[in-house]
Amino acid sequence: MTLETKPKKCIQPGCSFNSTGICMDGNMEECQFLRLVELPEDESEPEVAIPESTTHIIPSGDDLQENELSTITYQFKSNLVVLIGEPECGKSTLYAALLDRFHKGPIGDFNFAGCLTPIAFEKRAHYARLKSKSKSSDNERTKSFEFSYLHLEVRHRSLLFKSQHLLFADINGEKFQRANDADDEMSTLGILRYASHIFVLANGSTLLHNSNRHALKANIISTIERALQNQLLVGKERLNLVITKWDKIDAANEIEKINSFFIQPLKERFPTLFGEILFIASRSLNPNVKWGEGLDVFLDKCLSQGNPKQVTTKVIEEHEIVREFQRFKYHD
Amino acid sequence: MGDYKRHFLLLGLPATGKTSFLAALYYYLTSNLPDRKFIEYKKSANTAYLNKIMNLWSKCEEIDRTVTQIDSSNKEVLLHLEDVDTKTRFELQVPDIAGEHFVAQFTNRLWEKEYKHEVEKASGIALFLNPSKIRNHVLLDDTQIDDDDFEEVEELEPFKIEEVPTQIMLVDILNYHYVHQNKSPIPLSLVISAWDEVESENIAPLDWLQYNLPLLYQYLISNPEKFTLRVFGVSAQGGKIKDDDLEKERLASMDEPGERFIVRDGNNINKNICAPLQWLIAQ
Repeated sequence: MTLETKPKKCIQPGCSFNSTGICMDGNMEECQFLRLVELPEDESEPEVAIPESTTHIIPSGDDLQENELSTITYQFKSNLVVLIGEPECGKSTLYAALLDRFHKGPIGDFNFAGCLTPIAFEKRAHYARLKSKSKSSDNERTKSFEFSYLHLEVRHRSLLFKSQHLLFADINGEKFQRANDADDEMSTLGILRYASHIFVLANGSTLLHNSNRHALKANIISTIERALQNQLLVGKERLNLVITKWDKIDAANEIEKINSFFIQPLKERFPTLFGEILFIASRSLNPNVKWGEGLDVFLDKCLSQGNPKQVTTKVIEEHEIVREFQRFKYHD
Repeated sequence: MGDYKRHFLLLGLPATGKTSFLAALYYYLTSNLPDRKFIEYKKSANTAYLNKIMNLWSKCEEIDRTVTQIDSSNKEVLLHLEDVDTKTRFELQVPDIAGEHFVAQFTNRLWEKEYKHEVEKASGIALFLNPSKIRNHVLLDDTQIDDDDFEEVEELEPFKIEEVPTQIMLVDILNYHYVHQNKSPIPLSLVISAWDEVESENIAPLDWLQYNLPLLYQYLISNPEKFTLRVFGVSAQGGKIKDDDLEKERLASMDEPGERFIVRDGNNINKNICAPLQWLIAQ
């Protein structure tokens, strides 16, 4: 018997591999807890001494990596949401504000119903809190150049429908800047094909300043064109355009200027691509605009039926699973 | 009547009144209070521990784990109870676990296997909250502080997992307790302790939860398939015993310590300290 044909046993606490054949980490090739079993010569059932652990691991509550998503998609159909935008356009702030807003009460018609990544949300929200001793309502920037994911479960207040699960993809905004420059980089954003909803974020504060707004507009147009060129938006009926930092636009009373400079030209350039335009103030020091304004519309959009409708991990036969969400990784 | 065993968990972050409740409950079970719902028909094996915390409670002393010389691990408490009306006898198992243990569960993301087995056996949960120990986040956007009012600080405070808002911690703790137990929905008796400090607001406990811990409230009412919820306001001491010597003296000098109990269930106010467990038992 060769090593390759020998059975494996998992010694990771909490993993059901030994009974189901499914690796908890989702990657049997690299899993450090799988051990080859040395069979005795008569090939009878091996006796493996697996050390008894006294502890039981519960999930980290932090950002989920791609190979961990099946722990959610295996149980629940989920809408995958991707935000596209340059650094500091407000992606992480929007995610953080979403959970912060639920701290105060329901968002629109939806109640908070659960979260498997509370620590990931809390980290992002930290520097917007008084406790951080930050002077500005800032948020932790996403450092990773690989996508990580946040989970949120919400439920309609009527309780007439089941809970809905959302997976939010997050990545350093520089990744999109790089994708602007090269097809190679853009093709690593294959996740866009699997997103139920894509939101293109434009920093409202940047759009107010003549020195920067032209570059921002050009970069967003370039990103969309390159994504179209790489067939990443095939089948997407609508992209959602989000103007962030609405509080600053309102304070400057410049909505008309932004409409004529940015929104209308973008709609004309991509006449069938954009649906509704969202204005969001994830944070606000403007007394006329409450922080969190626009989040209800954003959440409604995230929960609406997208294309693909939902990501899921299906069990086809015993021991055979298809991770539909993860296909992009292997088929791109 | 045949005996059967009911196993409940008392959950709560540090200083949320779990042990005071247990002490007051033991007094209730072993005293001659009128209209008791349950009595102790057989002495508990944990009588030494129960007497110790009950004596401290009756003298309005703070029940501190260093005083009772209990380590921070589980303290299993087994009570032999009889329902006064039905004469049904049962064993009530309630491990008294330090609140620090639950904080550690959240921060370390580890459970002792032994604790996991406790959870698997549970047929109900009593979750304790202390209104004065709730950690809410304060957003800079919710403050009206000018930049000039900020003290100059050399370094920003880094994120500390143990300092996340109470609601976040409790939702996470409840979620993994639900995942690991075997009853669905699991009865959850939510006990808002030190209710004497809240009672002047004349608010029902469920409404208090909605206004003061909206995220936790949403989580619980959105998951009726996971939790059957009842919220109680409970004061085991009947008043403030810390930093208020006059109040402490008044409470300690009462002829009948059981008169100190304040229990609010909906709009009903009574002295039935065992109501949260009575409700769990009935589920």
